[in-house]
Amino acid sequence: MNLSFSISVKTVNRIKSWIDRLPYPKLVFFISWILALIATNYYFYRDLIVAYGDAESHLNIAKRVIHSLTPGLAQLGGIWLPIPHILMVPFVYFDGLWRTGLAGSIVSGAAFIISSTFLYKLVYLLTKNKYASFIAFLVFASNLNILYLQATPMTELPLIAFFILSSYFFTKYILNEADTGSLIMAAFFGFCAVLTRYDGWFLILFEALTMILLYLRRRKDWKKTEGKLLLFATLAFFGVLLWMVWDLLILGDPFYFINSQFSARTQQQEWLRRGELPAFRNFPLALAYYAVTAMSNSGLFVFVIAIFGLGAFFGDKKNRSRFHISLILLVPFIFNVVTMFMGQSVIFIPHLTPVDFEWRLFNVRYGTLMIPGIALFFALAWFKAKQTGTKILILALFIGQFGLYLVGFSKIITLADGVEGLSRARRPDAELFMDEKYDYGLVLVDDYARTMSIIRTGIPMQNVIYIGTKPYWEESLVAPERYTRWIIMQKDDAVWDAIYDQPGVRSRLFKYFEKVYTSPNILIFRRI
Amino acid sequence: MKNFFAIVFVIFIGLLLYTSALRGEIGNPLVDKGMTKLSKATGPFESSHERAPYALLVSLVERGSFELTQDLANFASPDTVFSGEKYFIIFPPGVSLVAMPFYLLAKEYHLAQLSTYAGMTMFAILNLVLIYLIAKNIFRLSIGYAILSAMVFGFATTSWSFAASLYQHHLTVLLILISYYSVWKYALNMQKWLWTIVPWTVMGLSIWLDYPSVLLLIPVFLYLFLKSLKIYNAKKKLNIIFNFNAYLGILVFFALVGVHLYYNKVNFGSPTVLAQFLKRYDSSKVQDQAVQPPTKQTIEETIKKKSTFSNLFQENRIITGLYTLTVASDKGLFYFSPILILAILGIFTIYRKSNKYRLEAGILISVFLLNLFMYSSWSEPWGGWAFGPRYLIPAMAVMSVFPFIWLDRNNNKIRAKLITFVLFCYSSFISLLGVLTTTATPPKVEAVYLKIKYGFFLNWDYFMDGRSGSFVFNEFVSKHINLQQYFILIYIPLILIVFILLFIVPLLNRKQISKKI
Repeated sequence: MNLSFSISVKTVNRIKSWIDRLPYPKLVFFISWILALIATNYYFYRDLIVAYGDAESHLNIAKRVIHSLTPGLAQLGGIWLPIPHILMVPFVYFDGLWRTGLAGSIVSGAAFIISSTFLYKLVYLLTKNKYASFIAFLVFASNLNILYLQATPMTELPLIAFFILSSYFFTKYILNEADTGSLIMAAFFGFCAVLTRYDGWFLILFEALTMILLYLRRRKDWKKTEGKLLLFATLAFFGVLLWMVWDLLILGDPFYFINSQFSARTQQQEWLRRGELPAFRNFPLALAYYAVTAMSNSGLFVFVIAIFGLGAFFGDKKNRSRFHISLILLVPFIFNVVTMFMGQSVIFIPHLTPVDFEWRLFNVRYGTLMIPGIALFFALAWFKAKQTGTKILILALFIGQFGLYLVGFSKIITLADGVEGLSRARRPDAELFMDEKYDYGLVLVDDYARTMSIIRTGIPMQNVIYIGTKPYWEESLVAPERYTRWIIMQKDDAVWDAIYDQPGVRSRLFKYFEKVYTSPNILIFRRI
Repeated sequence: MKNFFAIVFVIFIGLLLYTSALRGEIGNPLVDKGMTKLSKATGPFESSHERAPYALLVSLVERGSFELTQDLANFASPDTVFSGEKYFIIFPPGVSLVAMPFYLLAKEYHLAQLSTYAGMTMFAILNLVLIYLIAKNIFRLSIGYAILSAMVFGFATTSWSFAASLYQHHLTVLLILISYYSVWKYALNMQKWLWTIVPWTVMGLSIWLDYPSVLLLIPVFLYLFLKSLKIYNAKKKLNIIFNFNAYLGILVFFALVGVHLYYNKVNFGSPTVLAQFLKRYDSSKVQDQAVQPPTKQTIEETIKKKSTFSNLFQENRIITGLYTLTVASDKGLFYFSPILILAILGIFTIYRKSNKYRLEAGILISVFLLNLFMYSSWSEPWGGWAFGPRYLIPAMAVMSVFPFIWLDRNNNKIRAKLITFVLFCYSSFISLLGVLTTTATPPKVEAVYLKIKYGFFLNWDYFMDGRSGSFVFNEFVSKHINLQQYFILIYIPLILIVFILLFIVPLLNRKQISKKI
C-alpha cells in the first residue's frame, strides 16, 4: 500500500531558486527585531525584566548621571565599565522607561539585533554560504537565554554585540591583511568592548596576540606588522588607559576596579573564606564549570553539535587561518576559565556545584558570551556535513532542543538565576511598605547593600542619598536629621553600621526619627 | 547450515552459562510460608526489584488480582504504592504477566521461583540470538565475530546478573532488538508488511514493561519512517513514495495502550495515572503494619508533585549522571565492562572507513546515546542497589556488536585481538563475580554512609567468603567444590571459547579460503 506523488524537477528548482533569492540579511534584521519585541513584551508583562539585582543597579547608575542629588558623569562609578550605562542614559531620562527597566531593554534589544546581523555576516565571511549563515543566526537569535537577557538591562548583550562586531572586522583583517580599514574597525569595536565588560580586555589582548601569530606564520615584514599593531593597540588599548585614568581621577586609584571593596575580587574573597570557590586554582574544574555553563546556556544538543563543528573547522587544512579565527571566537571561554582559575569570578551551576554549598545557581549568564561562537560552530558543522541526512539530523536536533525546554528537561538558566538564584533581586516586605507610605523628602539608604528596590518604591532618584552623593552621604551618617526624612537600614549595611551601631548617632536617630517599620533585618525610620 | 549451527551454539552456551548462575531455591515462595528468608543477601529476593514483580505474580496466580495483600505489599516494599486503600507494585505489571506461564508450569513441582527466573533467562538467550543475527546479517560480520558479539553482551557485561533473576531489563532489550531487526527485514522487502507489525506491537508491550523504554524505541521508529519513504529522480520528476505498510501495526499499538489505560483506570482511578506517580509505601518506615493508608488528598498532592516529566529527567543531573554511569567505580559502564570501550572505536571505524551500514549503525548508536543521556539525567541513575549500571543494559546490547566491527575493519590485527581478549577476560571476570554472588551492591553515596564496600569490591568479599546465589552451586556443587573452584570451572571454558573464536577460527577460515584458491 503506497502513497506516491511526484513534483516536477522544474517546480523543485523553482522553489530552490525562490529560497535562494530570499533577502537573507533583511530577513535576519526583521526576524531579530520581531523576536526582540516578542521576548521583551513577554518578560515585561511577567515583571521579569528587572529580575536580577544587577539589572536595577545598571538602570540606577545610568539614571544618576542625569537625575540625582549630585548628577554628573562621576555617577558612572569606577567598578562597572561605563558604555552600557552611557547607552541607557537617553532612555532612563524618562521615568517610565527607568522604572520598568525598558530603558535597558532598548539598549540590549538593539545590541541583539546588531549581534544577529553581524553574526550572519561573520559566518558568511567564513563560508560564503547564506544558508549556513542564516542557521548561525537562527541558533543565536532563538536561544532562549539570549532572548531573555536581551530584554533586560544586563550588560551581556552590549558586550556580545561589540565582541561580534570586533571579531567580524578582525576576521576580515585575518583573511586579508592588507585591509587596514577592517583592522581599525576591529580596534574601535574592541575599544567599545573594553569599556563594556572586562571580558573585552581579553578580546583586544588576543586580537593583538593574533596579529603577532599572523606575522610568525609568514615571518616577513615585521615593520608592517609593528605599524599595524601600534595602530590597533593605540585605539583598542586606549579604552583600558582611559578607564584607569578615570578611576585615578574620580576615585584616586587607577586600579580601583580591582582593589575596591566593591570589586569582584573582593567579593570572591568571601566565597574563598567559606571554601566555596570551587574552580579557584583548579584548572580542570574551571574548565568544566565554564564548559557546562556554556552548554547549559546554548542547549545540550546545540553545544554537542558545535563541538563537532569546531572539530571540523580545525580539521579543514585548506583554511590556513582557522587557528587564528578560532582563537578570537573562543576568547570568552578562555577569559572565563582564567578568571575562575584566578579566583576573580565565580559561577555556581547545579550541574557541578556541590549540594552542600549555600547557593548552587549564580552568574550562569556568563555562559551566554559563548553563544555567538557556539552558533557559528553549529552552523559550520551543518555546512561541513557531507550528507543530506546528516544536515537534516543536525537541524532536527536544533529543533529537538526546544523540545527539551518544552518538557522541562532544560531550564532557561539565566532566567532561573534571576528568579531563584543568588543573582536575583530580593523583594522584602519593606519595599511594599515604602511603596505605600513614601510621601516626600530625602531617603538615606545603602544602595550597595540592595536593601530594597528604588525603582519599585516610587522614590524619585533625586531624593535618594547613597554613597555616590557627596557630601550628603557622609554628613547624613553623622547627623541623619540634617537632610533626611526617611532612613532605610539593613542589618550590617553601611547605614546600620554608621548610625544604628554608633550609640552617639543612634541617640540622634531616636530623637529626630520614629521607627515606622521593623523586620528581623530591615528597619525604616521617618522624621518626626 | 553454518548459520544454524552457530545459532544452536549460541543457545547452548547461553543455556549452559546462564543456568550455572541461575539464582534461587527449590520451593514456591510466599505460598509455602517461611520462604521470605530468601530476601537475604545472595537470595533470589535480595532486591525489592525482584520481590515486587514476584509478589504481583503470586497475587495474579493465587488471587487473580493486581492488588496486593498486606503481606505481599510488605514483601514487595519499598517498591509498593497506595491507590485509594489498596496496595500495588510501583512497576508496570508486564514482567509479572510474562512470568505467569513459567510460574504455573513449575508450581506443581515446587519449583515456581526457579522456573520464573529461568523464564527470564530464556529471554536473555533470545537476546543473544538476536545480537548474533544483527551482527551476522546486518553488519556482515563473520560467524565467529557474530558469536563473540553475543557473548560480549551475555557474559562480559553486567547484564549477566539480570539474566538470572526477575528484572525487566532483558525483556526491554528483547523488544528493542526484535523491533530493530524486524524493521531491517521490512526494509529488505517493503511488501513483507508483517515485519512492520512487530515494532508497533513492541511499542505497545513496552508500556506494560517499563515506561522509559518506550523512549528508547524512538530511533527504531525513525528507522522505520526513513525506510518507509523513498525519494528518487525519474523522468524530470522528483518522486516520493510513502509506504503505508509500515504503519499497519499502529492498530495493535493502540489496542495495547488502550488496555493499559483501562488497567490504570480500574486500579488507580484514572487512565493517565501511573503507579510510579502514586505515594510510595515503605514497610520498614511504618511501625504499625496496619497503619491506614494516607488520605486521598495527600495522594493527590504527591501526584501533582511528581507527575511531571521534568521531575524525572533534568539537564542539571546529566554531568554527574554521565560520570556515574560511564566511569565511576560503583556503577561505571566502562569500569565494569571495559570491553565496551572498543565499541567507541567501532563507531569511529564505521564512520571513517566505510559508507556501508551507516544508517543501521546510527540507529543502534542513537539507542545507546538515548539510553545513556536519559538515565544520566534521571533522578536516580544508580538503579538502587544493583550490580553495575543496570539501566544501561539496552546500551550494552546495542554496543556489543561494535568492538567486532572495529576488529573486522582493522584486518584482524593480532594486537587488536589481544586487546579484545584481555578486555573480554577482565569484563567477564567482573560479570561472573557479580552473577555468582549478589546483585545488591550499593551505590557509593550509600555505601560511604553505611561504611560498607561498593561496586564489585563487595562482590569480591562475598566471593572470598564463598557466599553465592547460584542454585546449581548451592544445591548440587557446593558439596564437592568451593565457590572459587566453581568460578574457575565456568570462567576458564568461557575464555577458552573466546580465545578459540578470536584466534583459532579465523586461522581455519583462512586455510579453507586458501585451499579453495
